[in-house]
Amino acid sequence: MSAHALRLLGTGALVPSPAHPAHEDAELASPGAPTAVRTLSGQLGSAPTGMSRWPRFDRYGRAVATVVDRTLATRARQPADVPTGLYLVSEYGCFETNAAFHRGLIEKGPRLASPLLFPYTVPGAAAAEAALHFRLTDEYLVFPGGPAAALAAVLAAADALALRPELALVVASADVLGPETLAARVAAGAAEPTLPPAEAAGGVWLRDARASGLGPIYALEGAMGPAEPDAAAVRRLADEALARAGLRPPEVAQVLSATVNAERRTAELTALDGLVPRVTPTQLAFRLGDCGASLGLLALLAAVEDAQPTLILATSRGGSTALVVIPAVPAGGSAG
Amino acid sequence: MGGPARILGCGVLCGAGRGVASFWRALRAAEPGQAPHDLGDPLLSASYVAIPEARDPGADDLATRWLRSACRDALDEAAPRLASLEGARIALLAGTSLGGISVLERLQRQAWDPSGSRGAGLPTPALPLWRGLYDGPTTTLARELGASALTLNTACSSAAHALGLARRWLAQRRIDVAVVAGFDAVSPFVHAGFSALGAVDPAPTAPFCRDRRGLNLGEAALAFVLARPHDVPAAAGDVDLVGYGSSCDAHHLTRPDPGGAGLARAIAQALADADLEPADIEVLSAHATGTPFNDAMEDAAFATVFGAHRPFVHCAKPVTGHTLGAAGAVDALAMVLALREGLLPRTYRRGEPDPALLFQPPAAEVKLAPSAHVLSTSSGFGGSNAALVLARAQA
Repeated sequence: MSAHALRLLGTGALVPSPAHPAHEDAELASPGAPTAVRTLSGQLGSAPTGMSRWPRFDRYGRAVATVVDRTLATRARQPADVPTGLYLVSEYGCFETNAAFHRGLIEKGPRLASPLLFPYTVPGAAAAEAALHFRLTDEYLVFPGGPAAALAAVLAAADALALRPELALVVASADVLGPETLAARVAAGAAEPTLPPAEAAGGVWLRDARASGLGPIYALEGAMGPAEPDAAAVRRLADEALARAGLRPPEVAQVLSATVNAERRTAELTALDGLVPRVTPTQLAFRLGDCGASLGLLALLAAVEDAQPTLILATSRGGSTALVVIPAVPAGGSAG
Repeated sequence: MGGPARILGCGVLCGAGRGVASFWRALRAAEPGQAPHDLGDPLLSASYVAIPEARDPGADDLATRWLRSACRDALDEAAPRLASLEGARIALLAGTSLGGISVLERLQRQAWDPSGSRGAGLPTPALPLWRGLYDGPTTTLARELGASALTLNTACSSAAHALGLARRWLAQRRIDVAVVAGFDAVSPFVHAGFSALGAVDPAPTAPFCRDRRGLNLGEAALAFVLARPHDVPAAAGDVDLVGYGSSCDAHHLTRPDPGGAGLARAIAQALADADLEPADIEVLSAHATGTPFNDAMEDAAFATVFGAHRPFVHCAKPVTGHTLGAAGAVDALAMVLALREGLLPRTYRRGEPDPALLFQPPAAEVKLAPSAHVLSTSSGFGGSNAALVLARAQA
């Protein structure tokens, strides 16, 4: 097999600023919340140009709008009138707005349920607002899930672009935190004790390499595996992803892990030991914290930045995905 | 372009009954499924099409339990033809709008109870499915099936997108078997939200009728098992998913584009994907929520694509209610069964057809040709549109 060649028209990332390394937002204060929360404080304060509906948005909606705006930053220099779609991934989604609507329902009764909040209780509302403002009228999908879902969304985008070379797609992710989300993570035992919860967002703007556009070309391929895989399952996943990409294990220059859970990271290390023994996986979560789905997209951004053959792994309770990124594929060609 | 995906098994649990046979009987009866149900609040007394069983969610939330039931039924039907696929890579792709919200709702009510423990926070350890608001039920089922999982949430078009994406993954050989599901439960949260929007009709919903006033909520869990046709033995009556299209109106958060341009794009994509012309379509399974805006938008989109051609229209929602994230699966199952049986059920009608709408459901059942192609459309909050093309398998 060989990987499909895609042109990277743009990227966007929102990661916590070093100036705000810890929990400083009064709005995130909660008795049960951890004290070390990495937030996007100061990065969600201004609307993309002309976005009049910005005041209605919750933090999640603002993060989505901001990262899509950044991802499309080269728009003026790209071919015009290209049908463009949006795939959005989020683990926490609009959890805070959902809770606010529900709290209002409980406290005021159903007759006073907010018709303004209700449409924003589905995670796709933020995608819809972004699509509306940026005129992203083609394929449109929203995936609730973690880093593995983010990488699966990238693979879904690659498939769509292979079938429809006239299309461009923005794949974005965003996760923000609030008191309800933080409290729920703790109550559920879903918080990883060694990692700070973090807000982040990421985006890539992709087009088939055969189509016109400005930007470097990469081959993206991968595979999806079961939830909570053991080491043997991770190995099968990586083997399949590399085979599909036409990349031999010795050609892998780096491995990036977008996995949060410590046990699953250990399974990955075991699986990779016999596969790419000279490459030590870089654990993105150690650098960025537990930033939900965006860990997957930010791993992809790191891979394209480093411009060397990269294997990205993400395993979570919802599934597992391996993504292979190969740089500098000639336009119209394929890797492997 | 992507090749067909063969539907090997179906499972359904909804207000119209459990199992494909019950569902088909209800569709052919074409009577409103709406009935009063107690949501524990007198202000939420409007009827909806409920799954007739106890509300106590027990160990799992309702959605997970229903999803499991539908998946098991679909897999049971498909099992004999999956026997040759040893070591198959299985994926569960599920569409939902509010997923396992019933668990979260119960726990939040407990935590915020104005009379007692308000401010105490969520019970600990009480939220094994806290992520279940969106993808918890899918994740739970995927673990049981040993499958990879992906949840789609584009509101009321979710399940249709899950079917379309599954077909692509099969075509790209990312997976060997797809279990595709759609599910949603009605709860006070959901009911209050749609009531606040003024979208609920207290009377039986009447899509494409002159006096339609809104939707009836419904709840459902459905599942399909799909595989590549060449990987499994053929069977009489096989139905294939042969086309998929997706678009966004980019018009308004809750109101569809009145001109139907977004839906028309999705339909055009699905037809191109299936390598068909508009005249090849014999049946349109409309999203047909019964709201004035939705039905008019669909009529405009159909007119854009089909011009003077008039396929037969079918609307399932009077029987099943609007099952939100599952709705695309409900409509797809109705069409799978129509193709299998060679018969299009009539659609429940209340009052006169809307003379402003060019496309109308037939007043009686219609026999379908074995070569019939059907198109099923779904639309959701945010302007999401999905279109699917289904057909009897070619020998």
